[in-house]
Amino acid sequence: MTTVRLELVPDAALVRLARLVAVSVARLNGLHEDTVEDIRLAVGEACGRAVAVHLRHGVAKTIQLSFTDGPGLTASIVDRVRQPPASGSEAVRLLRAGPGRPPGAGDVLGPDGAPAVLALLEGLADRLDISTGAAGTCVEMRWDADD
Amino acid sequence: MDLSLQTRNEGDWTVVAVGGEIDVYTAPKLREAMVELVNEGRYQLVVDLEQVDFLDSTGLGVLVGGLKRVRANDGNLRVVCTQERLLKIFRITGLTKVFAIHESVAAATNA
Repeated sequence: MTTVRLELVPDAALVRLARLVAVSVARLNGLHEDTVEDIRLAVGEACGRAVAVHLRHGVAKTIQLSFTDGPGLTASIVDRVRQPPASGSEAVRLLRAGPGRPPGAGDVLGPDGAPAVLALLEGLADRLDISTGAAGTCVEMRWDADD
Repeated sequence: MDLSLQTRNEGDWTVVAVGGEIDVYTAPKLREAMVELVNEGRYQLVVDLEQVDFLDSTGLGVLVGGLKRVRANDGNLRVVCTQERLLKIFRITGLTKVFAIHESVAAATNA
């Protein structure tokens, strides 16, 4: 099992770097290009959300990303903005209701009214786990190995 | 890759050809361009995404904002896109029901 870790200061210009690393790790792990594309978008969305929430709250701490392979790939993106403790659907509800969406994304609604970021994360990852707490929010996404 | 924008007129329509990556970093440039077009009185817009390599929710937000602005002036915003990876994003977010998505600029302007 290999883990690649990355820490980014909250700067929108660095979200692309997160996407590039995600794509590289996914390809190294032999995932299908369609899955690689899903990972590229989902990691960019999660990282963009984290950057936006840091900037909105004036939190200069780094955003932490880690990618763990085999089989499949797990990507976790951790912001450092304090939230009430929650997990599962309650954490998703918190993120839907609260700030942290990239500028401009807030008025994009999915068919059920969900903000686009969460709709995309839920739609792109095979499994999505979100937990919130005093230390921040962890968005963990998993993609299964290709058959 | 940066965002590139080229604007041209085709009949009553203004075509905005976008290239590169539309994300949280580059989307403000597209937003500014669309606001400027509306401020100039151009309310019939076609946004051509055929040369776009990457589009995220921020980019979708800019397109929705553009659509709202032109509709407020009885205008239209049509999208040109045939790339499956981009169309998937429109589908997941439910925006295929919001935007008229066409296969070519000609199809968009003649629809």
